[in-house]
Amino acid sequence: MSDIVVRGVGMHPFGRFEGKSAVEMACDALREALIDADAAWRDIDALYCAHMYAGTGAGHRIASVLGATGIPIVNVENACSSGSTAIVMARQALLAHEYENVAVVGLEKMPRGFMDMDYFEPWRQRVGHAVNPAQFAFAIRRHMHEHGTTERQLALVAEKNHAHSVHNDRAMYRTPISCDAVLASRMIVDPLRLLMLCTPNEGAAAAILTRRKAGHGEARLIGQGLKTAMRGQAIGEHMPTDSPIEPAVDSVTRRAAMQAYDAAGIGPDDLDVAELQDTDSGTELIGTEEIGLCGVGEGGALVESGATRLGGRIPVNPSGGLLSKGEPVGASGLGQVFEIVNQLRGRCGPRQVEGARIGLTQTLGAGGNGCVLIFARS
Amino acid sequence: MSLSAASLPPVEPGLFATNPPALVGGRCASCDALRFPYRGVCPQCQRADVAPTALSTSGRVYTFTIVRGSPPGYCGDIPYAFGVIELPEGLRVIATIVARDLASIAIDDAVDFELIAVGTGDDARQSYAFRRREPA
Repeated sequence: MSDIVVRGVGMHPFGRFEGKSAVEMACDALREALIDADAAWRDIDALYCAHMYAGTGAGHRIASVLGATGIPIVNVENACSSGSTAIVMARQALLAHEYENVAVVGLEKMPRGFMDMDYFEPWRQRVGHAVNPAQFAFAIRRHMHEHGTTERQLALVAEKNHAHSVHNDRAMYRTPISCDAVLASRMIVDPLRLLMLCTPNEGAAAAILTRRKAGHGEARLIGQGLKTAMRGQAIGEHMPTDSPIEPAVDSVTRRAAMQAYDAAGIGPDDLDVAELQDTDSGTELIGTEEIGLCGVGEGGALVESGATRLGGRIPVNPSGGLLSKGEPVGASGLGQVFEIVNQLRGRCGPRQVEGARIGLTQTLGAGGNGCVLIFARS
Repeated sequence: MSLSAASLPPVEPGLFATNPPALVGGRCASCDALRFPYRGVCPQCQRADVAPTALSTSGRVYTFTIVRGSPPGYCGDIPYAFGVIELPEGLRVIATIVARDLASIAIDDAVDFELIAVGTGDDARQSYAFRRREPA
């Protein structure tokens, strides 16, 4: 049986790059991925291009820079899950024997501050209900109420990820930040403080996927789940306008993770490393529960135990996560793939998770869409 | 309702009634599903037989946040609170939350509906909120 092999990955650093366009960054990421894959642009049969803000035909503009080869190009917008959704689509096309080699790229160049999201109707913006991080605050506030999760545990998530970022030269912020400094930073959307929230920024990341038997040491995609929230999900990055109080439903992330585990034939105990959507400390903390690293309500204790730190039982966000890298929304999912594939190939230097064989990525975006990908080293 | 809110145009037609003040949801004539704001289609059975219905004017805070900065497009004062309110008929809605002291707002607080003004001058609009019921 053939595998979906990640032949190569590339990443333009995430940060602020004045004078450099998103398309230019995407070309850098793609060229690195092609070199990593030992492939040429002319070998690529299709391009999936993920972004939210890059405008009309971003993928087509990338191809015009790299060289128009006449291949099909699909631009994919699925909010923060755009990049991982593009991977899911590339896999489907490969399995349908439509193509042999597919390039997937994510790119973004975003303004500073609160995201201006046309997801919301104008009246919601006007009355102040169109606040992206407020959705994260709703979820973690409820979690604190139900499970006794503390502000210090939230600060620990940020402290941990920043400690990891010191070893990642593609991250925007690379300095350690103490728990006390996180707790002293200014409140933005209670209970989330400035240093518990990621910053929207700029960057690109890419992967080359192919269908064939994986060689020794190669990374392959073994499981994937793509879901959207159901009406009964009260909170989460769902941008809910309303929900019925009963019956309770599993969150979109939990359902996407279950689908991915089922497809891979593994469970959370089999994971060696994970890159989770830490748009904020609360989302990572709840995410560790949703992907099954611990029980419901135990995410605070999990981060406190050190289990999710490099050297712990199951390191989460060894790259430094979005809290350190920033979140160029179209690129962030592929940034996670870049990290996990390199972890599985043992290429992460001082942030390498010893002997990592199976890794997971998780994204969560507006509209309540969640995507989980699982990769394994052959 | 604050005096200033009474004479203002609504921020969006159809969200709420003013006399008496209440949110306007939709109830499906076929399956009884409830939603807010009103839409012509039922989210449960997808039929298009939905009647506008006034929602309860009392509820409880399910979760909330206090926003300290001004988000894009917002024209009101900061800080302000908004959150998810649970209504007794089994529906959760997003609403602004007003209180004498925003820091006093807590999950499970009882809240009562009222109309508020958002913005000033030509930007001012009538909008909706739930007010924290102060302990007697």
